[in-house]
Amino acid sequence: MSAEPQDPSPELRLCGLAREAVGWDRVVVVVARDVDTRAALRGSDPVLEGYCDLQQTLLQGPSLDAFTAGTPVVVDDLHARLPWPLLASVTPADLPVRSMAVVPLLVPATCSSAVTRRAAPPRPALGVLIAGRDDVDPFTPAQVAVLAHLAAVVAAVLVHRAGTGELIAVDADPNDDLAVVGGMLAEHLGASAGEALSRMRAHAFTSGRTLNELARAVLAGEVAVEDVAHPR
Amino acid sequence: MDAEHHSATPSPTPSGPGRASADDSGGAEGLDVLARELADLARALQSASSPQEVLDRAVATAVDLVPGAAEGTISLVRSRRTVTSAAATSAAARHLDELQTELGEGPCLDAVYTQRSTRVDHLARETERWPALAARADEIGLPSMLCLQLFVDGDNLGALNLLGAEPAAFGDTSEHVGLLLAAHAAVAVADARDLEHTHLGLAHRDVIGQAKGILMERHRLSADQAFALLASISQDLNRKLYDIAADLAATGELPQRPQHRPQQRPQQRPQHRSPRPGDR
Repeated sequence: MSAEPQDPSPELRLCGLAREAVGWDRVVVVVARDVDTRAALRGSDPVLEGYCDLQQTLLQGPSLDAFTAGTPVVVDDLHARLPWPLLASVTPADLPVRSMAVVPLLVPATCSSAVTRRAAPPRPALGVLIAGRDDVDPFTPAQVAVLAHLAAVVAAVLVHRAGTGELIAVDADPNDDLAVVGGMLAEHLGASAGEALSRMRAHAFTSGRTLNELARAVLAGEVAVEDVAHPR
Repeated sequence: MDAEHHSATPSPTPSGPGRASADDSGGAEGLDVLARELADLARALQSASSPQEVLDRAVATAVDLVPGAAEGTISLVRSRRTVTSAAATSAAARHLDELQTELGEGPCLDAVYTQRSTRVDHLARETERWPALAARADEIGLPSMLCLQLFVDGDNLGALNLLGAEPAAFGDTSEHVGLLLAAHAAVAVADARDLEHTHLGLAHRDVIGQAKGILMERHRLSADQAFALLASISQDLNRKLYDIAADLAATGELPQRPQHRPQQRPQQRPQHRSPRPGDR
């Protein structure tokens, strides 16, 4: 018996309304506090989610740039020359996604005035919305503009639901493997969570895994905590 | 909303601390200076990493920029009864909020709900509107006030309160600059609260995960056992599970259970250092 498809979160259902207007094969909505504290929302595409994991592991890529700079990033062809050399060197040859657009989910403007419009300060990002196409078919500026409008609506819904606690409790990926293994490693080393994450990142890179894949392997008993702490 | 204001007594020329404003730094040039300062403030507030930092910066900047301001608070009023200082530049400023709560009267409990700004030239002479507060005005030691509404949400209120070291320290310029600052601060505070709501959920998940990992490694527990131990301590101490986890993640130590009950020991100690597949 095949599994039922995931019931998408309200944010992903909203995205579905714009799919025909923009055109994409895959979409992900990720809510994030920082590079290492993030969660994809229910109904996100697993392939794009995996590509986000890879970027988190390497600390580089279009999603990180869009999140930290608060501006859209477009990649015409993921298999062509990329401005992220490390990411390019380990991107799987069989990654089905070719063209990608990443737009930040910016904190919605809660009120406006002539003064605030004039000052136009940068707004912090709550996460990113990523659309991907399986063919080389670059996103046009007009399509990115539609995605930015969509992201504004998604961010407003997201903030509203975060205030009620429903967002994280119901619709965010509940997987805490990375945090759990980070805690195990911090205890093993007698070090901070940050140091533990650095060791995990190094091990993941050398073993050809993403951070989340490494965490799953540790919890499954396939990789010993000691090996991550002190690689041979 | 109309930009009404109430002045208890006629307003003389602004005086006292606070940097040059549009009026006293000279026409268009002064306005440019003010615009730049406001833009800088907006950027500074947006780059703050927590709501508390936003509040602290907003009140400090207001004291710096509003002519006549010596001290200030950002006050939150709940149910028209309790006035608390969310940020304050001094103990004296904070004491004003404490007095308003204790006495059940003051500008934050009535005037600021309906007026975007309220000026008080001499608090000790406000014997008709706030007689009890006026009688204890000396405790604050700062006679004049400029109260600016940040937001009203039913019976809850946010206000930026500035205090002057001299009577009638605040004038029209003070009020204009203060209203501009309040508009910026209101946006920044609302943004910071939205952002914190979103971030907190993620942070809670990760901190609890880290705490589970620490216990799993220390006591050779499964993830479920580690969570159960955290939950049990949370229940015993009547503290939130997240707080217990945050303490453990930050200090490496579990908060102590009450003395009358012996510390619960993990009951199962698997042979292997790492949990086995299927433990979680």
